[in-house]
Amino acid sequence: MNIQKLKDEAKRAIGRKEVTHLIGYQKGSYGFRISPIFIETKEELDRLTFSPLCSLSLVNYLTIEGKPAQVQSEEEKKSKAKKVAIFVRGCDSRALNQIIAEKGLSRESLYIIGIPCKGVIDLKKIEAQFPNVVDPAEVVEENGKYIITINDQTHEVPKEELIADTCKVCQYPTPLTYNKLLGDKLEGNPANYDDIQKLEEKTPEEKWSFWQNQLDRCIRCYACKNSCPLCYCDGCILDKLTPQWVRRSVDTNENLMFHVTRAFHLAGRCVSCGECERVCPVGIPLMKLNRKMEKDVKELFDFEAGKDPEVKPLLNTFNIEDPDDFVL
Amino acid sequence: MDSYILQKEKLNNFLDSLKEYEIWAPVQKDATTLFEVIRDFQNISLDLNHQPIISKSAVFPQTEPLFTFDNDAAIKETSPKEEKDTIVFGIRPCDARSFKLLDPVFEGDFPDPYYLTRRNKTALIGIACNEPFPNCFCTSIDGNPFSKEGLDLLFTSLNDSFYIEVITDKGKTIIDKASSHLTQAKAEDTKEKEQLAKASEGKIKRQINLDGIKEKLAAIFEHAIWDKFSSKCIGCGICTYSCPTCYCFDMQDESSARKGRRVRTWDSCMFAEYTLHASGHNPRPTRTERLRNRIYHKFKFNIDNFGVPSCVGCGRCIALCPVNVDLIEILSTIKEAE
Amino acid sequence: MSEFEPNIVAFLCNWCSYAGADLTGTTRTHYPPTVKVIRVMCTGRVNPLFVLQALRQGADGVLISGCHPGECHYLKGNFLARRRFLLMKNLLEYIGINPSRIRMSWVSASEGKKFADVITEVTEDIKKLGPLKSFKREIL
Repeated sequence: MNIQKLKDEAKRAIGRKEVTHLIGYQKGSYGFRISPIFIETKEELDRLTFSPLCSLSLVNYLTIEGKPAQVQSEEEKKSKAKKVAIFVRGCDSRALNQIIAEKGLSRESLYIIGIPCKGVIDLKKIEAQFPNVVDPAEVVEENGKYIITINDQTHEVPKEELIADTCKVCQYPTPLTYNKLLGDKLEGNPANYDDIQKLEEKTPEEKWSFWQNQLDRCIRCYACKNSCPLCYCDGCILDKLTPQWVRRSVDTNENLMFHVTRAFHLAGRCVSCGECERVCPVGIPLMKLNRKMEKDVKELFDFEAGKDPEVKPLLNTFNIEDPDDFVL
Repeated sequence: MDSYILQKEKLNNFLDSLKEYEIWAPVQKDATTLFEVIRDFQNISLDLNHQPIISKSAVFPQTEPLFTFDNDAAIKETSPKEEKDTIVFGIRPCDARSFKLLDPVFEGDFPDPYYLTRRNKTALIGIACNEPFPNCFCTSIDGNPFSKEGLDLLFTSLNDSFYIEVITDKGKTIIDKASSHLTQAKAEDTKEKEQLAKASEGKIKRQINLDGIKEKLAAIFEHAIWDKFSSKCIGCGICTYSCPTCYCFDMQDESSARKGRRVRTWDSCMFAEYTLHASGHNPRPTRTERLRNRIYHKFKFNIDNFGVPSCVGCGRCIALCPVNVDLIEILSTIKEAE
Repeated sequence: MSEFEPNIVAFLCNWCSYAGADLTGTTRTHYPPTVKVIRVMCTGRVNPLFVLQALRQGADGVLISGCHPGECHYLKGNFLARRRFLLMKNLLEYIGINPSRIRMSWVSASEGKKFADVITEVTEDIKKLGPLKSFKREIL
């Protein structure tokens, strides 16, 4: 990715009079960290960056409270007065499409700069391989390798070792919706659900003990929920007290309820960015739940989330020919 | 007090002789190392390259039933006295210090029997940090990677052995039970340990001078930097739940038609719900107020109330934050803010 | 030890299955006394959370029953429910809960006999599986 090109495009974007600010990536405070940046003036443009380290989804910042460009009133939509510029990768663009389909955002309020993404690095993996890096590190991708520069020393690591698991099976690396696309379109991987199938084939007891083991350690910090670009409800059932669907007690059963509910709420909505799994402080393989739903939705209803903002959300619609054989 | 040497291969024998205790220790689970009750010593992970998280739950569990009730019988209180004597093994010096910060809170005007009973029954066996982590800044908050504060015993990992320092009488009792596996430390062991301690302190890269932070905070409550920092916060609770000094909790009744219980669970000031009133009003309506409160609580209110900041410089909130909200960066910006 | 009597929660739609169940009663057709009926206006009203919560609060199985496809009083409620509960069933199966515990059926107002058959079948299946322990809240 040519950073200069990225900055030029950003400059053009915030130069537009309807664009209020731009959401992009900047280098984080140390090591391999990346941080979001909200740019309003040209002076800040120099801090923009994009690298394989940019694993977080910026789409969150369109729907999170306190930021503009949320659901707009009818007049605002008509006037098309304000737009937010945002950098998106393939998965982010699907998230945007999905939110737009759900009428959570309007396309007119966005100026989307698409970045074809070759996959991001899993921070946990790179920080395990290069521990204790405090000074800012650079990572670029070249010919299937990551060239990592730490304190003027370069290291080459095969891409396979560091790339996030979800990116290995990414089907849509190129943004599906954008105003400007930076770079050439990339070919996606074919759908691959081998890992899910493997778990499906286990006995109920094995599956239960697998999930019990994994979810037992959930501390319910809700980082998975809050980092998810599709979790943008204004008020969550988890906060409800009457009825209290999920209790505040943290035990395996309540954790299961939380994660089943979360996974089901993302059925036909999850865009497989994998951020939930990456941010989990206790390493729960959440994508195994999300991808199960994704697989079923694809096989049963031939539906993929976020492909087209005009298509109604999966569970808001139906097909008379939907599978019926499980009904008595 | 005394110091001893324990050969690393004898660690399991050492722990074996402490069977009467409930032992908590770090256990590696995929990429994470968590503290939990140990049934099999093989599971213990003393890997110094992994920073274990959430040691406070040994004394201050995330979910604590206070009493149960049902339709027929009277209320039955959970008695903390039934707790077994406990050892938290492999705790880091910063985590041990954190209990010193939690104690005055739970000892306050209304002493908390649950915390205090468990605290008194718990011995802390620390392991010194030969390799500090990138975000460790304990030396900036009166700590250091070999700090003994709050600990009963301190282990230091030498080549094939652990160098054990006895710090309190509680620690002495433990040592007496396992003394058959130990030898007296020699002068050269002590020297090696001291060298390691010095080297470790030198490896801490991130530092900050916190002099006058309280006064500075008092002056910048309405400053624009709070918006700047909070704009990237996604409002999860990682920072507070992984923080060894955060102690906020919520209490709720969980009941069905016939029975129920009152539980105390951790709560996080980073959640919108934390300050939400029954009326619907929220005095901390946005992430800005919430993030600001977290910093103020740690570096102003706690100093006002107890004389010390509510932070031990372990850096976990920084390491685990998904969006790089960096406490050290925030503090240094505060120091420079006009 | 007495035989295990399953505890089944049935969400019946007001217009078809509830009336069907009523007909089962008025025609004095016998069926196992294992179901606790909750009347809802439409199967489309059944929030998946209801199902999860029923299982957690002591049900060994859940039945959702409504009008035949195309006969929904609200035109499409049962179609929406069909999608939803197929996914829910699969998800629960994936975490180790036998899919026989989450059942769906189409029973019209005139199918009193079918309602009895459905309840009998669901009861038999769940009897074979035994009580649901895994998903139950320890503290109810």
